[in-house]
Amino acid sequence: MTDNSLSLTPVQDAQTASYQNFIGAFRKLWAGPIYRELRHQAAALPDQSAEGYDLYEDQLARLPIHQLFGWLEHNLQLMKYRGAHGVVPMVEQQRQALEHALMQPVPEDMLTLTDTMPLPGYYERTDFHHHPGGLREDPLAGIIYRTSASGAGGVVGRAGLHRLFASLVNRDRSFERVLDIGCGFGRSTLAFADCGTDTEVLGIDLSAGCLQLAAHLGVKTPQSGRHSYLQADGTSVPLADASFDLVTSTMLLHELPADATRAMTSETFRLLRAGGEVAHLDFLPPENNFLRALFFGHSDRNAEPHMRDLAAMDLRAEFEKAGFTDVSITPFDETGGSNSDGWRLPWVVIRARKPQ
Amino acid sequence: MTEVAARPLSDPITEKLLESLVALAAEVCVLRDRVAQLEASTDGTQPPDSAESAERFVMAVFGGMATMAAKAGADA
Repeated sequence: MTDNSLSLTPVQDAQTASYQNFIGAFRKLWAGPIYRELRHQAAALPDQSAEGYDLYEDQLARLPIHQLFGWLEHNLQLMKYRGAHGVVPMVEQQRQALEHALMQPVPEDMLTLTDTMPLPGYYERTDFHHHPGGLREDPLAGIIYRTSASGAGGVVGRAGLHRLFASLVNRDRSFERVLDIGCGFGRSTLAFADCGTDTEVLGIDLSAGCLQLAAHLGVKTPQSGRHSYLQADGTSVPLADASFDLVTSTMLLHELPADATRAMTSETFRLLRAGGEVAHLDFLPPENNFLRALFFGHSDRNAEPHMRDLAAMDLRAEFEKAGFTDVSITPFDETGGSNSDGWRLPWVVIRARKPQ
Repeated sequence: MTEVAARPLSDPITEKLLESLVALAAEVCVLRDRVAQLEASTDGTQPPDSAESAERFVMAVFGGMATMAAKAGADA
């Protein structure tokens, strides 16, 4: 019997709420006025040419306001997770109840975990976004990730982001069988399942904790029965050729080293039916030296080392080498048109098609 | 586990002071909220919105950071 009445959302005490609001307020100051002053000062730096990027980055790093910007980006993220009233101490205090809720059964066909799958080295070595211990072993990793992403300036939990992307991908065509690689706790999976009443989505991820949470959160949704979760590596998915007509990921590619991205692209091609499509939502550095430097700085400061790998790849060539056609890389406005003048990540949608 | 090092402020003392100052301000923010809740409870009124209070507090205390950094850059 499934019991999903137990809460998978940590109860936020007043102190934690106040502390997280402080961090959220500081992130607004960081992404707004401090960013704009940095942009103003950076505009006066001498060499703005693409050829002079290394020199430009060095000069930018010397600006006190750039150092302040970087320090805040790094430390506010650490505080959010591990500060005096961070997400981790809050979840720790409720560990027993949350683990009990997470271990409740879900319908058999919704979740398949495996304890024999080897985790890739890059995944074991990196605590992405400074998530303590990464998303690997702690059964509550998904709950910690979701709590962090949903508050204090989190990106993954931003309302509407996943729906915007899924709607864009489904604008001209609907898909019946969708594979969502790196689905995390299922936000993107649900968004794609919501795009059509005949759409079935399989979310895969390396993190058992995230998948368990995704399955629980999905049990009582309107899309229930049309989405399921499997623990698998996107570079080697234990499913038959031509199983899907759309393969997608949201904020995954920048977490992968280049060899994993290449392997996943080939695997995606195998898994797609003829005429099927791939659509990734991710980040690529702009040409502008200033925004490029902040992008690479974010990679260093936010424990996302493979953003540089993705930036260095010729994605168009890689997709064509794997057999894809109609490769496109287009900017994506995650705000839905709010025209924010603050710091934001350079979102892009990468799409391609498997020939008929 | 890999922790990618952040680019620190040039001066380690300034960095440590800033770390302490921000941590202290966060605790003050928490206490301000608590006081506001107790006052509201005593007065029988609604406590102010915590997120809005935090924004006003952060802007009041740290809002000058951008201009301070601009001056520091000009002086350097």
